[in-house]
Amino acid sequence: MEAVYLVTKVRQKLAVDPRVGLTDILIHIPEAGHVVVSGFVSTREQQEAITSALQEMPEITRVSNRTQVRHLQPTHQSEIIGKGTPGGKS
Amino acid sequence: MIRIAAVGDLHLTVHGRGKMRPQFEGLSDEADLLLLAGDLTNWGKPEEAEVLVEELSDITIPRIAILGNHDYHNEDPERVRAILEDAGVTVLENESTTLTIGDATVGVVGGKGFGGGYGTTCLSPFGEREIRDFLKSTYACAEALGQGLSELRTDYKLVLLHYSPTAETLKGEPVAIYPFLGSSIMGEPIDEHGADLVVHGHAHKGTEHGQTAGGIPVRNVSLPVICESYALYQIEQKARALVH
Repeated sequence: MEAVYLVTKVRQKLAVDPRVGLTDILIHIPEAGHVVVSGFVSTREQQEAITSALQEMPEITRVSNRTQVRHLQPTHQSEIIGKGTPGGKS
Repeated sequence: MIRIAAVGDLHLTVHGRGKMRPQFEGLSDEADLLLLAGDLTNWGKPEEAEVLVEELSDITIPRIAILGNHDYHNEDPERVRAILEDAGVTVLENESTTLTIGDATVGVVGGKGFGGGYGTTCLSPFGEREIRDFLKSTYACAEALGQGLSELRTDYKLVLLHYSPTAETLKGEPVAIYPFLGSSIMGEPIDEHGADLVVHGHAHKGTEHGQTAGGIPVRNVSLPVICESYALYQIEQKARALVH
């Protein structure tokens, strides 16, 4: 039960901490005091800030930061839209 | 035929300076207009909006944006909007704009939108004032979409939102948070008045392809979803003429 509340606190911390500001990080508490975070971040600085922010939380004794920095691919293909598209009343 | 580039959820911070600009190289040759689907900044701070403007500065085609929830976090979306508009970006909040591309006219109706849920589990404006207040901006956006789309007399009609008008492009997100990712309240006026394409962001773990209940194509162009610098769509005039 405590894990449920800790997940919420971790989620809120990562959302509002000015160094992080992330709302879509996956959070897992495998055991008391141990938090595992995963997902994608934009920069190396943001990734490092996650660990720093979580280490400041008194309830957390161990942080496993498994997030990855997102690398965008160049845009290659264009999708063709229109064939058979309903048009409403227009 | 018009070519549309679209992306949302850039979540730019001051640390992102110079990171997106190279990604947009070539965009102006590949598309006729760029649609920016909100959450362009991470905290809604003016300095982040300034970074965004720098990142977009090489793009020579028309740029049309709406703001997302992150752009409101600093409680000064007007400042973010002003910075973008000063740089020549058209910003829509329950508004529409028209432009001419070659010999075709294009109308874009846009707004942030809001949540409420979908279909049989859609929230109703009933009970406590807080619940009714929650839905106010969703209904305001729906009304603006209906009015804007009904008034457009352009060859192409596009809708630009941050929140989704359909649950189809949310697949991959936890179902429990669907009501916070959009609402079918916004889908109804789109189906009623018709559009060629709807693009939105916000749902980072969602799905790119979907459609409204009435079959209008909807694309979730959230950057984490498309995993590319921007998505590209072509709408063909001939195919469209078959419909109308």
